Amino acid sequence: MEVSIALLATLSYFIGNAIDRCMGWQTFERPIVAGTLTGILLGDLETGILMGASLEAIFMGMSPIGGAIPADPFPTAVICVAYTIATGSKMGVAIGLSIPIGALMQTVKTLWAPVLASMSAYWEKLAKTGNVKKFRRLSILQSVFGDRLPIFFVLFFSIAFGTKGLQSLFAMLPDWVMRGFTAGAGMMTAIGFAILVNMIWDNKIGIFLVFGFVLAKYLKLPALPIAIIVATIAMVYFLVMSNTISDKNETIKTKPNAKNEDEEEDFF
Amino acid sequence: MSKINAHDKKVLKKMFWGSGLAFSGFNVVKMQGNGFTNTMGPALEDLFPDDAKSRGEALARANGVFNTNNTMFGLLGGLTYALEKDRVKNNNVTTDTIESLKVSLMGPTAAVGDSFIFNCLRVIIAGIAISIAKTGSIFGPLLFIVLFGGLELMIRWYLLVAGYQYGTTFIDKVFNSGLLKIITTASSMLGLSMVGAMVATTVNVPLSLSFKFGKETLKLSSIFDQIMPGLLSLILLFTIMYLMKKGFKPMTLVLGLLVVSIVLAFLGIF
Repeated sequence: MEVSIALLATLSYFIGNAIDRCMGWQTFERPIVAGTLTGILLGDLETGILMGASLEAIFMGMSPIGGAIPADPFPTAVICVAYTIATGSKMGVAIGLSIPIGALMQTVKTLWAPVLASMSAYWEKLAKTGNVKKFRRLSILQSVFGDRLPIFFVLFFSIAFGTKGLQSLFAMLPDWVMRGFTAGAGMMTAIGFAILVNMIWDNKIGIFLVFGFVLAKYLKLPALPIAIIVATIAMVYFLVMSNTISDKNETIKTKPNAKNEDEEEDFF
Repeated sequence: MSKINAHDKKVLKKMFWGSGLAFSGFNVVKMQGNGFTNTMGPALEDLFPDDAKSRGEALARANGVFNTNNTMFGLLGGLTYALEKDRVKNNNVTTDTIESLKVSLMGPTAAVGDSFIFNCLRVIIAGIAISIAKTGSIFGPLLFIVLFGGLELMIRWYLLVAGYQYGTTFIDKVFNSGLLKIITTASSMLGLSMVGAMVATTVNVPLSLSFKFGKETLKLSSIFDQIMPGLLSLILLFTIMYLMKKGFKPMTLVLGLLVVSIVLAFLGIF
C-alpha cells in the first residue's frame, strides 16, 4: 500500500490523539470521529463517516471502566478506514479485520507500559521543584508525542506494509517475553497502590483494606456497591463517634445547672 | 455555600484547562497522577506564589497515585484546592486528611463517573450520532463532538466549582464541631477499602505453573486460590509496602518487578 496513505492515516491518528489528550475528553479518539477525520485526510469523506459509524456501534460496549479495554478502537478505526479507501475493498472485510488489529495495538501498548512506568520517578522529581508551568509544558509534549509513540510507528508500518508482516514480526517474539511483560504490567499496579496505602495506613483500621479486597474478590462486587457498603459502615462509625462527642459536650453544660436545681429544692 | 470571587474563578479556570491533561504520562504506577498534578498546579501557584519549596511539596503530593473519571477531576480538584487553601490560611487541615479524602473519593467517583459518562451518556449520544452518520452526513460526527465532548467539559467545570464551594463549607462545618479526627478515620476506612477493591481487580500474579501426577494435573495457582483467591496479590502488595518502608524507591521496584516477571515467564512459572 502507498506510503503516502500510511502517512496521512498516521497524521489523522496524531491529530486526534493530540486533541483528546489535551482536552481531557473522548471525542476524536472515538471511531465515529476518527473514521471521519481519516476519511477527510484521505479524500473520501463518505467512506470515513460510514465506517466510523459502523465501528462506533461495534465498539459501543467496550469502555475503559477501571482502565482496561480488549481492543483499542482508535487506531483500529483509522486502519480500517485507510484500508478500505486504499484497497477499495468492502467495508465488511476491513471491519472483520478490525478486532485482531485492535488487539495488536493493545499488545504494543503493553510493551510500552514499562517505559512509561519508569518515567514516573522523573515526573515526581519535576513536581517537587514546584515549577508548574514546566510540568504543564512537558505534560503536553508527553501527551502529544510520548504516550502513544510506538502506536505511531506500528500504525504507519501496518498500513504501509500490511498487518500480516507485522503480525509475523510479533509472532517471532518468544511467548515468554509477552507473558513476562503482561505479568509485569499486572504486578506493577501494586506499586502505585502500595504508595497510596502507606500514606493512609493506620494499624487500627488496616482490616478495611482486606475487607474491600474480599468484597471485590469473593463477592465480585463492582466498585460502586463496595463504596456504598463501606460508606455506610463509615457513616455508622461517624454517627456513633460524633454522638459521643456531643454527649460529652452536653454533660459539661448540664453540670452547673444541676447545682442550681439542688439549691432551689433546698429552698422548699 | 461560599461565593466565589473573580480571583478564585480565574484560578479555577486555569485548573479546568490543566485537568484536560488527565491522561498525560499515564502509567501503571501513578496512573493519572500527572493529570491531577496539572489540575492542582494553578491552585498551588495561587497559594504559594513565592515559596517554591512548599509549592513543590504540595505539587509532588498531587502527583501521587490517582485514578478517576475525567469529569471527576473537577470535583476532586476543587475540593482539594479548598482544603489546601484552608491548610495554608488557617492551619486547620493536615496533609493526611487531604490525602485520605482524595484517596477515598477516587474509587466511588470513578465508578459513578465512568458508569454515567461512558455507559449512559456516551451510549445515548453515540446512538443519535450513528443514526445521523449512517446517512452519510458529517453532522453525525459533529454532533458527537459538540454534545458528548461539550457535556464532558461542562460537567467537569461545574464539578470543579461545586467541589471548591462545597469544600469550604465542609471545612467550616467540620471545624466548628471538632469532628476532624473522626472524619479522617472514616475517610481512611473508605480509602483503604477502595484500594483493597482495586488491588483485587487490577493486581494480578499470573502463576501458570502446573504439576502432573499421572492422570491428574495440579495448578500451582489453585493451591493459593483454595486458601484464599487473590492471596498472592495481597501478599505482593504488602511485600512492596514493606520494601518501600525499608527505603526502596518505586523506580527500582518497577524495574525489579519487570525483570522478575520476564525471568519467571522464561522459566515457565508465569
